[in-house]
Amino acid sequence: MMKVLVVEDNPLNMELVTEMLIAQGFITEGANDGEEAVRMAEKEAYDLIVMDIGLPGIDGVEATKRIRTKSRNKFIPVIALTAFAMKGDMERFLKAGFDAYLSKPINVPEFMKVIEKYKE
Amino acid sequence: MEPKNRGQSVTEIVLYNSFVQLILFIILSIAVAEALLIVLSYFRFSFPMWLDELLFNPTLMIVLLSPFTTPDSELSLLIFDPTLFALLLSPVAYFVLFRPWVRRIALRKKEEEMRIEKERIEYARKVKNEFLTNMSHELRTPLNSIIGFSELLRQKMTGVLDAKQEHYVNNILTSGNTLLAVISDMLDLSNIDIGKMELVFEEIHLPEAIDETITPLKEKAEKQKVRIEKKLDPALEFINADRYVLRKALVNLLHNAVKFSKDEGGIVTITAQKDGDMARISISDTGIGIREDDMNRLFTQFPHIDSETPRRFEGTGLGLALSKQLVELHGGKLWAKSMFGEGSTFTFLLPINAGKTVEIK
Ligand SMILES: [Mg+2]
Repeated sequence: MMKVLVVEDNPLNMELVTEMLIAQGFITEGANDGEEAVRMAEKEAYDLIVMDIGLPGIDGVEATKRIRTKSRNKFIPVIALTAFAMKGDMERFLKAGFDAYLSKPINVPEFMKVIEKYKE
Repeated sequence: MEPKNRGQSVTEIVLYNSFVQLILFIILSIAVAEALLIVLSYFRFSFPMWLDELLFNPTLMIVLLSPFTTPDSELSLLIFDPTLFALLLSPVAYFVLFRPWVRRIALRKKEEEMRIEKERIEYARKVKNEFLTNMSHELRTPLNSIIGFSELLRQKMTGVLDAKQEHYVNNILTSGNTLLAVISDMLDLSNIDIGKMELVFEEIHLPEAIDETITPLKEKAEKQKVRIEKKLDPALEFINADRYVLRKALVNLLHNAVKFSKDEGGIVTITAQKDGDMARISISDTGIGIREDDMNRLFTQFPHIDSETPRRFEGTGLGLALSKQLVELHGGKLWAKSMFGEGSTFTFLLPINAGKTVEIK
């Protein structure tokens, strides 16, 4: 089974994403901020990361960068799931190195479709 | 030089001396006044323009000095007297050295003020921009769980809902999505306002873009017995435009056309044709139409305020105002025509080659 790291500071949104991933048959673990995510990704090998951008401390872009400095995580797929959803934000985050971009409020069918792609 | 001549010139000099003193007095007064004004301007004291003009007016200076410099046979003598020569030179020094110097200071001062003002505007813009970005983020975050959890309920992830529960969940979802649309439109309008809306031009396949906006509306149209028809000019296939602007205008107008259909249903027609170097896109409906006295309020940001009876634009939110502003920002035009009770036609023009440099043949 695939293990997903969910990085999200809002507990309700964390619950929502976790529920959806579990419904899709993933195992999930959660980090509440960027630094915690970096620590967890150092200790454990995840198959996929769902990353919020607006986080206390380092933001999702920086956390992703740090996670990928570890050779094991160099090519780990990271999906940005963020409330930064103004014109131009999608292009900005894809350029910053995310594999996919999903905006909040979440479009459930779209989320499921994107997640499906990362299933083995 | 003969003593006789000298003696004669001494009386002249005495005479001229008082004139020269007078000239110097005038010049000195002006210099002091100017210096004073410069100092005052540092304390944001604004002196009237006419005073400034008067003091710096060269014609005036010539007029003031003319009685003392009228051609005179004796005047040449003055020039040979070193003291008088120096005294006469001082006005020249004043005009050549002191005045330009004072002016330079004044100019620098003005430039400094303009720079500060520019920085202030730039800073205000930055603060507003940051505020908008944060607002958008903070509003979307709770909306995420409102919409997300209702969607999970609706998809019966936690079990079957009874009819009423399902109805309620759908209501939450609809309102959540309406709120989202209002937030996005409001932020877009604010971004246009501070000049932050940047357009990105790309080649867009127009028939495809139109289809993409029709598809999500099909279900709603069917429910309201509205048939959506297309009349697309085959000569107009690609358009170089900002995808977001095109989409926003299409979605908004199409959505309204379906929404304000008559109870018995109707037809919505999308027409796209080439109009010179513009793409002309019209969306017409056979709906309830717009009253004539409502037409001029149609594109304002809150058109439904003040209206007592349900009107055509009720619930259109900021969409029409935003679409119009976006299209205009894009170098196009958007307008409406309507017959109350018969239907409406909304038309917009967009340049076909926006953002492309036109080749000169
Ligand atoms: Mg967050």
